[in-house]
Amino acid sequence: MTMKDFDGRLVVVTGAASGIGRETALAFAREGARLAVCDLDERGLGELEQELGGRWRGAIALSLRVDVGDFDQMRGFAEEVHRHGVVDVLVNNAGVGLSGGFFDTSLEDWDWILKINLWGVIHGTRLFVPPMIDRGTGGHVVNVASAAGFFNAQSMAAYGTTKYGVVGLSEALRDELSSKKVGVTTICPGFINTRIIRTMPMRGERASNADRERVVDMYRRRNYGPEKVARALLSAVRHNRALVPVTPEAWALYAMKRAVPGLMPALMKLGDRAMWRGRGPAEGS
Amino acid sequence: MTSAVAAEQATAAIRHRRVDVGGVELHLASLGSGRPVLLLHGFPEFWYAWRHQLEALAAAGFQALAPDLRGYNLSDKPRRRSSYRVDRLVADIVGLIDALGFERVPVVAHDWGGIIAYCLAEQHPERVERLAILNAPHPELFRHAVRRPPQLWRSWYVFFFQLPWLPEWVVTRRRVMESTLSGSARPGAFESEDMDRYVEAIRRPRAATSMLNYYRAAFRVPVRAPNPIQAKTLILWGDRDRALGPELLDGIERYVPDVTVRHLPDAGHWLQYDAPDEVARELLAFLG
Repeated sequence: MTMKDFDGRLVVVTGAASGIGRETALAFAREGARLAVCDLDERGLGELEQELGGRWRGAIALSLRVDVGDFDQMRGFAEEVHRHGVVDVLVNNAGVGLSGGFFDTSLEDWDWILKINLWGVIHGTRLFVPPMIDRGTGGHVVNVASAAGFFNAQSMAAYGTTKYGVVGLSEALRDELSSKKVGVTTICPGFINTRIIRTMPMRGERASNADRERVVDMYRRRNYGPEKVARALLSAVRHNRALVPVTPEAWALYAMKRAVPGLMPALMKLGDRAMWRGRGPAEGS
Repeated sequence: MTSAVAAEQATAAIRHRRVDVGGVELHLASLGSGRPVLLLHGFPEFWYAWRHQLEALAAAGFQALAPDLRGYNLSDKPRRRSSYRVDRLVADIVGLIDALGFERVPVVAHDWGGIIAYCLAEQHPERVERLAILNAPHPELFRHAVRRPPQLWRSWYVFFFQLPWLPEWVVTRRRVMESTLSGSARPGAFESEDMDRYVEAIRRPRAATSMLNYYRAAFRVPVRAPNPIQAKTLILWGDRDRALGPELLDGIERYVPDVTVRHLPDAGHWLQYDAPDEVARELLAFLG
């Protein structure tokens, strides 16, 4: 099924305190949806509610501090949400960044990022989709992955692994739910200027403050705001699209990965050289 | 009245014709009568890039002349990649000025149009009365900047466009056009009808390949414009450009001695849409 109108729909957005999650929540609210949002950042959630003044005040039916990687917390959240009805659109958006190669990152790092980025999606899907199926009138799941969900490199070994996981999970889920009137969409944004880069742990040789500034600056210059991702996300739900690259660079990477996968390693090397040109391998670390 | 109807009415008065510029025919859109001013669009647009400015210039007593560049929209699309080398593109504009019967004209140009205009002004100073550049790199400054990280990253697509056929598929997706134009513009700057026109234009037979051939030809034969440009020049620069950084203006006086630079801090690469009124005001003040 495809959902054309979000007026009065119950929409869950995880990680709604900032970035793409926040803009997605705002966009759904402006379409008249009722929102259930969660995040670890309670202050950000409060600001989101404040932002929804005027006509859309009260769009937020529920706002909770939740760690999506913790099943008990997510179950508590789901119980609260279901008091308001069955969810129409689930947006598994909560995610964290982590830079560094496989051997730069600890097992704790992997545990942490897998919990949030992949288990968070598993928990959300497990808890919110069955009532959607039982109701029988349809629904939609949106998983926010990344362009790193179809190409990965040393600089983001763990992050990309979680996003590949999300893309794979979504692909299987779309197949499984297609006969149940529940659509599944994977969003692969590309370089989006959000807080995730400023707050992500950095490991390995490129882990100094100067390195972070360089990456933050690169994203800032890309000047592609999360509100544009939110717009693409809502449109994808309306059209029940499977996989949605958002920025032109995400499209280019997607096309290259599909058509000429053998090109990617050379490309990543070039990109890495370009990014860090003129810097010694361990400078500043 | 819907915006579509308003746009339709505004564009209804535009005159369309084909002009032989020397073996190649360009499609030319024009509005108004009076002093001529030539408007050169960039990638991935066509004459329609100037739709707001055509009206403003015509209303101020100009004859605004906006061609589709070679390979774009309704203009001829030679098949060979070498047909899109910048010397050919410059020759088209000289041929156009000749065919229209003018000695010299003011030239206003954006993006790839700006690169052509810089080369035109450098090689044919007698034909360019004044030059207004909107978010376009000077070839010499770009050549150096693109070797360093910030601009190298921003220019990723220049390298992507060197691949065969795959870029053609990507750039003709409607969602890519939306992402390219609206993605870095003020909300509402581009309307759905605008997007229809851009997608229609890039999907014309051989258009996408021809448009991409600008990048492919320039990759093989570098664009050069080493000599100082004599024309009085205005540069309008939208600072929120994703593809071209403001540092591309560092050292511009060396190549364009008589230059005034105006920054539009809230506009991006598509400043004709992002800030149509401000762009029109600046152009009218500059053209006098």
